[in-house]
This record gives sequence, C-alpha cells and structure tokens, in this order.
Amino acid sequence: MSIELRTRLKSILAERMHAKLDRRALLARTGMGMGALALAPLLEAAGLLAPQARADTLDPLAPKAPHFRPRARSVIHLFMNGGPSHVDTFDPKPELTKRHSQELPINLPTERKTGAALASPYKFQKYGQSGIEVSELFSHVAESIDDVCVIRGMHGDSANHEPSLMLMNCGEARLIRPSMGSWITYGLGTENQNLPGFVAMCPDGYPIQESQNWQAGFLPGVHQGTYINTQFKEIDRLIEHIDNKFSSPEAQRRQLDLLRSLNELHHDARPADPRLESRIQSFELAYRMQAEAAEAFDVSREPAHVLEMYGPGKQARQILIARRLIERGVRFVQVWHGQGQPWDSHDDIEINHRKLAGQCDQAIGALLKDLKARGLLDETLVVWGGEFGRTPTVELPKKGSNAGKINGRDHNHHGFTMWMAGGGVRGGTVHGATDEFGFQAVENRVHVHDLHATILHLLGFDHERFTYRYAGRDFRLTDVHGRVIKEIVS
Amino acid sequence: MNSLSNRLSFLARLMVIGLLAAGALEQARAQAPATAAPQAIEFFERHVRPLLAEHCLACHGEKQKGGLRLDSRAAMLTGGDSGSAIVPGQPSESRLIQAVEYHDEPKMPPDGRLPDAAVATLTEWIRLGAPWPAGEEKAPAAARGDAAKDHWAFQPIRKPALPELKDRAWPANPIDTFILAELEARGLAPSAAAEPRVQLRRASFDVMGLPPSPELQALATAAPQNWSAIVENLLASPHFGERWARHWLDVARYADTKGYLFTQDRSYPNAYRYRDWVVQAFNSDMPYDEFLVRQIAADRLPREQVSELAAMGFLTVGRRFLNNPHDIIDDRIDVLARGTMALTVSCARCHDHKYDPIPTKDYYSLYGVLASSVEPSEPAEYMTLADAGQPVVPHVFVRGNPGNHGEAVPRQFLSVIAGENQQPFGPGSGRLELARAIASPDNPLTARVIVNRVWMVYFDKPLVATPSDFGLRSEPPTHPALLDFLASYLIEHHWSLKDLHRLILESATYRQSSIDRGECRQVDADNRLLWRMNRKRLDFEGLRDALLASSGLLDRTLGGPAAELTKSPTCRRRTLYGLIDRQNLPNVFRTFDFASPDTHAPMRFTTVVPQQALYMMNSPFVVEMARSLAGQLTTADGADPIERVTRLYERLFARRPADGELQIALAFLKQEEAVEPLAPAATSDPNKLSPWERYVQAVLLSNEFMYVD
Repeated sequence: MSIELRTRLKSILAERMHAKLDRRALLARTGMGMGALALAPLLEAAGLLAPQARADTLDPLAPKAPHFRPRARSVIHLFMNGGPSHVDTFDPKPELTKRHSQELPINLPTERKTGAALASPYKFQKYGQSGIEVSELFSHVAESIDDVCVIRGMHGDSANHEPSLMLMNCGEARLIRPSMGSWITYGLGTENQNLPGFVAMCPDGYPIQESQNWQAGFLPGVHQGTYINTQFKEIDRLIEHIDNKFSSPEAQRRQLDLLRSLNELHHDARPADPRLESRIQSFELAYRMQAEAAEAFDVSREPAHVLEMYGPGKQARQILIARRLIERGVRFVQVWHGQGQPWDSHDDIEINHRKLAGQCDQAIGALLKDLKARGLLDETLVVWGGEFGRTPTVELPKKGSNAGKINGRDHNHHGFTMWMAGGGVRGGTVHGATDEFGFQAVENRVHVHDLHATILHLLGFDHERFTYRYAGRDFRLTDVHGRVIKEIVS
Repeated sequence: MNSLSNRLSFLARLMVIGLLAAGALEQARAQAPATAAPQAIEFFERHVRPLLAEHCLACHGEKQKGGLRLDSRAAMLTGGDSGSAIVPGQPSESRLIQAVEYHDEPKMPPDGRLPDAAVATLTEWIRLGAPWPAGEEKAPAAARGDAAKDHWAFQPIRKPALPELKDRAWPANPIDTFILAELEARGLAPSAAAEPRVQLRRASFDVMGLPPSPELQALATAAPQNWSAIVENLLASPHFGERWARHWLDVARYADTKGYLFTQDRSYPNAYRYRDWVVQAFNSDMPYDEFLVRQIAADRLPREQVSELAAMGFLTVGRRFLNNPHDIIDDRIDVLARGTMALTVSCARCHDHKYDPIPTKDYYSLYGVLASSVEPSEPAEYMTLADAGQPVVPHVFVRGNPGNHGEAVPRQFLSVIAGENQQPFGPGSGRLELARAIASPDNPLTARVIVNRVWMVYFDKPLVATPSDFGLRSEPPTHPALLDFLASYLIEHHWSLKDLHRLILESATYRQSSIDRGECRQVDADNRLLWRMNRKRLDFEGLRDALLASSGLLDRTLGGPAAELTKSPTCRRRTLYGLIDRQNLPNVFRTFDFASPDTHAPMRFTTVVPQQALYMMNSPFVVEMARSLAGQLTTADGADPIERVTRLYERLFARRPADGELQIALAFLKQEEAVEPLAPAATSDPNKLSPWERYVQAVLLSNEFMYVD
C-alpha cells in the first residue's frame, strides 16, 4: 500500500470517528439484554464506544482480567532457536578454561557423543551495579543487566529439538497442546482489536516443528499465533488480505457504508441477535485494521536515532516491530531468530555463535533500553532463550552431523540459561546455577514448567486454576507440574 | 526461625505425650482405623488432616502425582508407583516420613521442607498407627462405580412413551411431541412455521451445504405443502453425502498429511479415498452400525471389492507424532472412544479415569487391540490395517510410561459397557469384536452419540452439550426422553441415518421461524427448549461453497484427490476437497473456525473476528466470485439496474428486494457512477471493481448471506 493511499485511509478514518455510535441506540437495535453488552469491548477497542463494564463476549479476543493483579501486561519472547550455548553467553565457567581438552568427571548423555571440556572462546566481564558476568557475545544486552534476571538453573526433559521446542512452547513434548501465547490470549484477550493478539515472527520461513510452535491446539483457532515472515517488508506480504487491491479506500469506505445499511435493515427484522451486530462491527474493525496494521509493521516511521540504536538487518527490524506491536497492545509477540534452527552450533561454534549474536545482540540491547525509556519495560515481560543450552564438552566428530569437525557443542537439556527482564521480574539477579562445568543445573533448579508457571504468575494467573475443559479433562499449560519461582519476582 | 520451629516441635510432642498419658492412643495403634480411639481421631482431625490438606493434597489428592493419593488411609497404604506411603506404627519405614524429612529424594513437599513441628506431628501420627476416622475408607474407584451405575448415559436405551400434550394439533411427528411437552411445561408455545423459502434455504444448507437450486426453489414456491417431496429431493442429492462426510471428518480428525516429521514425506496421498468412502457411505445410506464396523475392521469382513478397505482411514489418517507408536495408538483409541461413544478413555492412559468408570486396565485392553493391528508394509492404495501375526498381550504401562510394565490385561471391551459380560476377545487382534461391541444396539452410548451429533448440526446446539463426552461430568441432556427416542428410532430403523434426517427435517420443530419472541426469551434466553429455530452462521465450507455456487462457478464433480484451495488459479471445487495439511493449515481455515485436524473435534467454534471481514473485503477469491456473479447478471438482464438488483436478490435469497433495499441499491449505484465510475479502459486499473461489482460484493458480504434463518 502506498504512503498516499494510507494517508487517505487515515483521513477517512478520522472523519468517521466523529460519528461515534450512540450506545443506547445500539442497544436498542441489538434487542437489549446482556447479549448486546458483549459488543462493548469490541466497540470500545475500536474507539466507537466509551469504556463500559465488560460482559462475556462473542469476541474471544476482547480484553479480560486475570485472577489477580498482573505485573506484566504483555510478553516478548526472543526465541534463539537451535539452542544457544549458556557457557558462552550468560553462564561463565572458568573451570572449563582450566580443564580445556581434559576429560571432565561428568559427562551426561545428550543427543550425540561428546568428549573433553571445551573452553569458551569468548571473554566474560562484569556489568552494571549487579556485577553479573556476561560474555562479549551479548555486550549490548549486558548494558541493561541490572534489569535482567539471569536464570542459570534451567533444565528440560529431552536433548532433541522437537520435543524440547514443544515443551518450551506448549508445556508438553509430544501431544497436541495449546502454545503459551495461545493460552495467554485465551486468558487475557488482547488490547488492540485491530492487530492479531499473538504474533509469531520468523524471517525466511518456519523454525523446525513449524506452526506447531504457536498452535492453538484445542483452544479456538483465533488464539493460534499469526505467523509473519519478517524477511518481507511489504505489508501485504506480512499480513494476509490486509491490502485492498480492488477498490480505492474511498470506494471501499462507501461500499462498507452500503453494507452497513443493508445489514441494519436485515438486523431490524431480526432483533435480539447480538451476533449480527458483532459481525457488522467486524467490518468496521477490519477497515481500521488495514491502516493500523500497515503502520504497526512499518519501521521506517521510526526516527533515525531509534533505527540506529537497533542497528541494521532482519533481526533489528523484527525486534523493533515487536516493540511497535507491544506498544499498540498486542499481547504476546514471539521473535524467532530464523528459519530452521540457526543456533544449533554442532561445529564451528566460535564462528557461528559470534555471527548469530552479532545479528541480534545490538537490537535486543536496544529493545531493553527503548522499552525502559518509554516506560513500557515495567509492564512488558521480555523472555530470552532457546529450547535448551549446549554441552560444556566438545561434540565428537561424526560424518553428516558436524562435518567431522571437533569444535562445536551438542544439545544440553540438563542445564541451561534463560533470562527475563521487565514485567515484575527482579532485575540484576542471578537465579540458580549449573555445576562448575555447566553440564547440569544443580542449584535452584528451574524446570520449563516452572518457567511457565512463573510467566503466568507475572501475567496475573494462578497456573493451577488457569484451565480449559476439553475431552473430559481440565487442561493447564503446566499440566500437573510447575512451581512459581517467587524468588525472581520483584 | 529455628528456635520457633523447635518450640513448635516441642509443643507438638508435649501435646502428643499428653494424649498418650491418657493411654488411649497406644491402644489405637494396633487397631483397625474404624475403632481408633476418639482422642486419636481428634489428633488426626486437628493436626494431621490440616497438614495433609495444606501441603500434600494439591498433588496427591485427585491429581495423584506419582500415582499416589494421600486423601485416605487405604490410598496411603496402597501407595503410589514406588510402593506404600505409610507403614502404620513405623515412621522410619514410612516413605511419607522419609520424604518430609528431606534427607533423600524424593523430598516432599517439593517447594520447601515442612517446619520441624509438622514433621514431628506426621511422625507421631504414623507411630500411633495412622488413625483415620471410620467411614471414609471407601476406595475412590468404588465411589465412581456407584455414581456410574446411575449415570444417564450408561443406562440402556429404552424407547420412551410419548408425553401427553395440551396442543395436539402442532406436532408433525414424535420429535415435536417431546419438544412441545417441555415448552408447555413452562407455559411456552412454539413459533409459527418459517416462510417456505426460508425453510428451503435452511434445509438446503443443512442437508447439502449449498444454497437451493432454482428447480427446488420453483418446487418450493409452487407447492409449499409438498415439504416431503423437497426433503426427499435434498436427501437424494449426492451433495448430501459430501456435506455430511465433512461433519464426520471433523470426528475422524481427517487430514491429507501426517503432521510434523523431520525428513520423511508427510503426505497421505490416499487419504482422500477414505474421504470419498465416507461420502459414498452417507449417500447410499449405509446403516450406521455397518458404517462403524467397516471403519474399524473392514479388513476382517468378507469383501466384494478391495476399495472397501478405504473405510479404515478412520483409524489411520491421524497424526504420526514423530512415529511414536504409543502416541499413534493413543490417538486411535481417542478417535474410537470419543468419536463413537463420547467416552474420554484417553484420560485413563496414566491412571484410572478421575471421574468416569474407566480403569487404566481398560485403556490397555484397547491398546492391545490396536497394537495387534499393523499397517501393511507394501505401499497400498488404501490406508488399511491388518491383524499382526501374533497378537500383543498388553500390559498396563504404569503412569503411561512404556518402560514401566504393570499387570497384563486381556484384549477386551470396556468394563463400563460390557459389565459382567466382559470377555477376552478371541484370536486375532480383536478389532472386529471391538467394532461389533461399539456398534451393538445394546451399547448405551453409540446410538445416543450419533443422534446427538446429527441434532447438533440441524439445531446448532446438541441435546447433550458435550457431544464427545457423555461422562459423569457432562451436563445431562436438555431433552433426555427425546434423545432416547431418537436413539431407539435409529436402531429400529436399522440404523438408517437418512430416516433420522427425514424425521428431523419433517418435524414442525425444525420448520419453525427463527425470529425472536420477547416473552419466550424472558423464560428461556438460550432457546434450550427450542421455542424457535436457531439462526445459524455458515461455516467455512458453507460460506466458500455458497460463494462458488451463487456466482455460478462451482465445480460439482464428486470425489478425487485433494486440491489446494489457496493456490492460483482459483480452485472451484467444493471445500470438502481442499487439501488439509495438518501441519500448515492455510490461515483462512483457522480464521473461519475450521475443525483442527490435530485431534478429534467435537464441535466447531463460531468466532467473529475482523480477519474474517478482511477476507471477505480483500481476498482475490471473494472478489472473483463477486465479479463473476455481477457479470452474469449484467449479461442476462441488460442495463436496467432495478431488474439486475431484483435478479440478484432472487438468486441469493429467493426473494425480491424490499423497497428500502431497492432504494439503497439504486442510490448507491447512482452515487458511484457519479463519484467513481470506471475510468476509460486505457487508463483504468484492470483490478479495480466497477460500481455494480462493488454493490454485488457488498451483498455477498451481508449478514443475510452469512446467516441462515
């Protein structure tokens, strides 16, 4: 859509806004009663109605209140798919340097065979008031370390990508369950009806396990993450059917006015059916969405200093989009590093991890500072991590898996690091620890279920009471597991 | 903190010692709990039970983590996966005490050690013989058994007598008698019949999933009294099978792909043969019992043609779960049990069903049947199963863990239905016996479940609110007698589904107007009693097929391989034939609440979201439909806008436009011709719609098009 078209669309919208709906007239037409109130959030979100008490709603994405006062309003999940190495990023292990090339007293089974200790090739240094050590790979993130809680005691269930991705996203390794983002939009709705409530961005194609990573499972399909391929910049390639190629904005506006007149005649003869009014409104919302979504995804609207702060490249663009979406009320944004499993450095880890961190560190650092400067960090939970970490030991050469090289690390679910910032998390802290080599979590261990329980807690949910009845059972994101890590809540 | 807990511990001991001094507790230790001394019970109630409730029962109550419950003495003695939790009288031998002492794994509760006083209380309690009040010793399974005995869904189906009515004129058949009896009981009257064209449009979408043909329109208009002929005409259409096959495919979690697999080919190139088999089965009115038996065990039946094996897709078109055999079998158990009997048997994979009388053993009995059924290794045209050479002797997997074998169980039918007649299946996998047990007229669930599913489609609401869960936690039917009448009617009519459809379609209940009546709404706002017809929104298939049919572009070919719906050029086949890629279902399916093909789908959601509107406004598909329709009306009727608008309304809604609608149309067309007519061809963007096309598209977007009165 050209700038000129968008401007025209906006000005038509502005005109429309003068003609706000008279609530009483609306209620009269929908036949009164609670059913009509169901529209309220929908209309309110569109700015067509003054805020009013919200009733249970036809629109599954209307904003809803959680169990208790939330600390975070929205979530940005930066997914380093493939599994970033914790001992090379946020969990320094001097012991590995000391014992480089020596066999360690511990070697746990992972996906493939690993051998001697492999020292991290990167320098670590202390940052901030908290003095938390971070490697040179994430020196930009490290500048905000006093806002970050580094969870070094993470552990999962499997050393394979697929089940670990499913566990991290859906809380269940094999069976079909809704993803965390779906649960959250199911529970909270979303604040901006002109944008999807749950957005999953990944440049160049899907991560492995594909759309299952943001599946709605047995929840209504509208809670499924909306996938955006951020290799593209044009809005019509980012969101399906957002662009109207067949009428001018003015003609479409007049067409929708015609539609509204016809629908009102139809509705007048069929009182007390709030679905009819709801569908009438959905066209108004869609019309607005055309302008708003186009704007939200257009990072060129950012001032030069912001663009500079995030840096060049696809990562910077999609991370900046994430901030623009959160700012506009999107509930859950997942930002995947890239198609496939980019962080899976079975070989050449030094080169590969440096390249990957180089693509995203500056932008993630900028995101933390930018959110803070805008006063959004308090209510936005930023989560960083992969589906697991990597072994402190070197992966042994094997044809077809690591090109016969002896300079990479295998998957490691026994211990790894994730970090969270903002949204009620205690910044400048380290929670839990792996053993002296980084092989397994030994202190204040945090299972993926515990992480989910904690994220839900920060969003205002008791994870044990946040259930959905399906197939005779009350399902939870955390199944029968999960413990809120109170220690990291500020 | 330490000194405080020490003090508490000291107090606990003091108190216990005080009780001991009374001499009663020592006595209690050796006794059965039923005769425990009152002081011991009081100690339990005041100090032990609150501890258990606060710290243990969240995980070891109904939830039974580790297979362990701590909410009865019997359950504690039985223990969990790792054995008995308590040894009365011997705290040091009791796992419960070992766990709370926090010396070794498992340490309980996991989120922090109990205060010393609490540990001391539990220790003393066990030392005293773990006294527990009498009368609470009923095992949970037995409790479930009792409730289950009385549960409506497990009662035999008996044809109920017709109720007495005040108004004997209204009922057209027994459905109406049951509906009217409930209405009269609340002082309500049914609604008048809908206009004939409304009835026809309703029945046409319900039966065929398509708008009525002009021929049927003519028939309905000419002889509205001849409703039976219209019903027969609809039921005889091959589109009937297509429409109802799609409803069954929701049950069967149909897809044309296997789901996520890292490298292997993911397609099920022959899944469509199952889909086509279902269409044919419905069109030929295959009896429902036979329909089920063939889908479960066609390989075990004498066959005239190899193509009959296609029926087995019911079991085999599920997701492949990275080829994990246990999950594949679990999916098949689920589609069998929930799909045909509305039993949530999968809940019993790891422990006895929490609410329904389905022990884990029954799950593994069915597991054994399916584990003894293999897919032929050579590539075949049909996704069939065959009995393995040697049937599997199933073992219970303790807590669902295949590495932890419990007792061996026979391959046999579910105890809740078989009751005392539960007999091990004979040689072979037992699939045929399983199929016959499901499709038996004596099975209390099967007929009730299918009549409820059919009812749900016609009335937009099922009689039992959870169509795939008739268990103890489900809501009872709104009309229990009607449900049983329909179920026995189906069985009496040799399981003819077309007879059931006919009965519903010919009822006065179905033919009612859908217009609201305030006085009834005040009594029954949700219309549970059916004082009017429910207005229905078209589902994704109904919408897309109606757009194709209305614009004259629909390709009515029956059957064949799946076609991609979202690729260009536009696929003009019915939506039923669209490729269902389980892993990457096109967004438009999700946007319009298509059934998730991941697992069995009991019912569709009906959401209203702006993405649906965007699709209607901006998708090339809808625009193409609008253009085609606009073009046909122009060529047929020349330039007179009144004539064109009239033809459009007749075609889409089988009525003439009202004056108001005509005025709106003419005003719009006049305005558009003035403001934004098509520019001369040389400068015009060929993509842009003309005023007339914009008008036609708006009517296709209207609520009247999307909702069926």
